[in-house]
Amino acid sequence: MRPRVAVTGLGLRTPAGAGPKELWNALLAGRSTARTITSFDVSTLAVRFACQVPDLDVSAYLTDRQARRLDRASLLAVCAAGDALADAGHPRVPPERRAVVAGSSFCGTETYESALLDTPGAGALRLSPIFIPKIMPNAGAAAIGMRYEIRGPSMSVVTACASGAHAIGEGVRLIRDGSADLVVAGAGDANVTPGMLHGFSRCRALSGRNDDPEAACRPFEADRDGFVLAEGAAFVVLERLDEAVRRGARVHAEVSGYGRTSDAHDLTAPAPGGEGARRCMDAALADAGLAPEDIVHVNAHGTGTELNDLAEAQAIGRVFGPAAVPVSATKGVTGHALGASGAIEAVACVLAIAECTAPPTANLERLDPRCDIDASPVPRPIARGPVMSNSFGFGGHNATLVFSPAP
Amino acid sequence: MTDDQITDVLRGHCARVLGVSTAQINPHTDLREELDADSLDFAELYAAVEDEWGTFADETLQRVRTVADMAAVIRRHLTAVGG
Repeated sequence: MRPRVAVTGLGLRTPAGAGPKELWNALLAGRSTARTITSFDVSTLAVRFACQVPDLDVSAYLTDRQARRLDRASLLAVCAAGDALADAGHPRVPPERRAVVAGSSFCGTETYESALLDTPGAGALRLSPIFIPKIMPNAGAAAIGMRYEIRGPSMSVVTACASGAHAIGEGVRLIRDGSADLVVAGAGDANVTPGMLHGFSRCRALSGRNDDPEAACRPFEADRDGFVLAEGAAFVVLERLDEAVRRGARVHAEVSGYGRTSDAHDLTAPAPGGEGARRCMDAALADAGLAPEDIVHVNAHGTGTELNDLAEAQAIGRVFGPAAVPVSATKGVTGHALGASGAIEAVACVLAIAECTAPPTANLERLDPRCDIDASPVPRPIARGPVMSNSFGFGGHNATLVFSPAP
Repeated sequence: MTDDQITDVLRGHCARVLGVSTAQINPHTDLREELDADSLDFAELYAAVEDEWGTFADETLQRVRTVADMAAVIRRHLTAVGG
């Protein structure tokens, strides 16, 4: 029998706070963290707001010299991973048996843009030697590995907005197949930059509610007009459930199922009817050995874009039946932290299990009548049972995780 | 530029790159042994030197261990280019 996998540590850096309690309280309050950007000049941008992590202080985690060598995405990741390890009680696992799987959608965006955006041409480039190590997509995994002495498998997962969920799922597989005894898995992303705001805006993916940022992210809502760019990081510590119980660890939840599919359809649009998403949820249920009626709550990808929400609602309807399971979309509060979102929402699922509550979906005033799902603007009690989290990325990468209450 | 001026500029770059105060760097401080400078730190220092004084042949900087070593390389370079 394959080993069961426990979540024994949680760590976060989000616009809604730097701890599970802060995130949970913000989700319960259902209040968006989107604000007009003041950290750089947005006057020429079409979209001028986002959800940013306030007052990032890394001094308890890294020396100035270490921090200077990391992009903001990696800094967020190192902090969240450190908190997850501390929350797990720093398990005594030999470094060679520790692993890290770190996701991101992009990496080094701030570094890239600050070095290149104002440069007139390649001939005038004066790049710092730390430019390359700061922008490499594996920088987060490398930084976490160095900081926390992880000498086993160390990998990066880049599947756009599904990266964080895939990172946790692949971490689960490392525990299941015996490749590691402890896995730090999650994602960090920091893309609130002029280029990213402009680029996503040109994709017509972002909400344009500059005059009312807090009302901008409206998952499954009739008047939604796009997602709200965010940044953040979340990491979990994964261990064998039996070993975690033996050492007396606090088991937050079990990761009981993991599904991954791809659409093979379009660079940005989901497959018609959410076909890839439906197969992904089915795969996660099969992996968990659960039936749809066992799931007490679905944390949707729920970006607030026309295309995602419609396809996802259709897929959820096909798996569970019309409006058959309480659905929440965390992004109404946190915004869309791209690669990190699936990891942040994994933590939200673990908290929903602990609190037996499906958090509200912020800004949900009038459900899109085409979205036949059970979403609500208020928190709702749920039974103690398995919870599902969906993440879908540009490129048609799909990931679904199932978390079950600790036995 | 006098040797003292070169040394002062170099100490500033070393302090910035290595995250220490200039007071911790004298001309004969071994940057690797005493201040844990690694290859990436030296790459940053060489980039700063090149930004300041122009491009150097790689091998001229490879054996540098101290600010004094670096200043000597720069002095030879400036003499060669007539600076």
